[in-house]
Amino acid sequence: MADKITGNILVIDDDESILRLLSKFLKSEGHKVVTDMNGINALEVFKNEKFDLVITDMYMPDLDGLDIIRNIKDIDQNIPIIVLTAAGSITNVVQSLKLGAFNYMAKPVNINEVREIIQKAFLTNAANRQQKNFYAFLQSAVSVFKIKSAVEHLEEISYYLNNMLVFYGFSSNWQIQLAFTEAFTNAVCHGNNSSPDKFVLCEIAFSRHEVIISIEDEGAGFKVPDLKNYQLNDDIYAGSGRGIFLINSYMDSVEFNDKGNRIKMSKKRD
Amino acid sequence: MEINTIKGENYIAFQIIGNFDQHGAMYLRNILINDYLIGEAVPAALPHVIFDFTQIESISSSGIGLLASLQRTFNRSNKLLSLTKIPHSLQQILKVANLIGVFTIYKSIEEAVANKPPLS
Repeated sequence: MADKITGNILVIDDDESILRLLSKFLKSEGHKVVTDMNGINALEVFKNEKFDLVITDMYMPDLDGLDIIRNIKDIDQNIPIIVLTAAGSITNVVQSLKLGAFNYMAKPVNINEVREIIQKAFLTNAANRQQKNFYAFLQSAVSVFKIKSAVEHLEEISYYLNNMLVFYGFSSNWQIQLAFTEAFTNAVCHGNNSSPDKFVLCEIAFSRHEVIISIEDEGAGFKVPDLKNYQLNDDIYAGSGRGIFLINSYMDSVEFNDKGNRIKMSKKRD
Repeated sequence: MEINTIKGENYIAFQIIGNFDQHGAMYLRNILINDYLIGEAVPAALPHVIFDFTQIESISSSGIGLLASLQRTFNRSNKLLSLTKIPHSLQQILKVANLIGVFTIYKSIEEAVANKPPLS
């Protein structure tokens, strides 16, 4: 039998008896355990410490399990989350799995089931890490899309980008997604001036170290902004003018071609 | 993007579902103008408007821009605008965009309603 994998586990439940039971059991299995009865506090703990697994109750007064999954996946998309739920309560279980929870356990918890699900979660994560190592030999994987110039297509291409980011093991996905959304929207609405007859060319290139995204429109181009000294509009209530600022804030490198109709940006792997 | 509307005695809450991007911002703006007459000013019948982000998947600068311009409109009209259940990513974006202090943010719609009695 394979060696048991151990890790640092955050357990969130407003029921102190469940926390005590799980903490005692998990520690006896060799895991490090942090417990919290308050979902909001637990999120702060999660932001400040590296965990390998989260176990959370579904129903809590301050922040429910679905909110916890959303927030934790926002911070680390790859961490496995196991949801504790009342027996027979299937609606939120389905929702939690859709949000990316690894699995669920019905209360009252069965210790053997806890052990089995945690080991599966760790094994799956280990396999994902091996997958990352597997792709480390790649010099480059490039996808090129010529897309009808319409903001309605953003959702489809973003979906593809998100899947590829997960596939290649990028955990800071929302920052990259945001930069992509800004650049694509800018190309459609400003570069191509919302003309439905034009196209946007997107190139997404993954290497072992980074993702590089280029987006080019068919417009006449713009005066290239001075990114090193780029500042927000003084009017904080302004309805526009934040797109380039956000791209510049979240990507590691940003550059334009001389014509000003192509942006190239990169983000290193965490 | 979809919008679920919850009408209370002294408030109206819009739950934003999906991607609050350029397309979503245009959709929301049209609803606010056409269905609730929120344009340059806020009607007297709307003392407190809440945007709930429980089911948001992503937001872009277009969504942020709409929220910022709405906040200005609400300030000028002396009406309340609250944001609830904002995810970590939106909190980060608001911080980076220097907007975190501009909005009134609550953990839930219930808390927003309880803590902010409507202005007379």
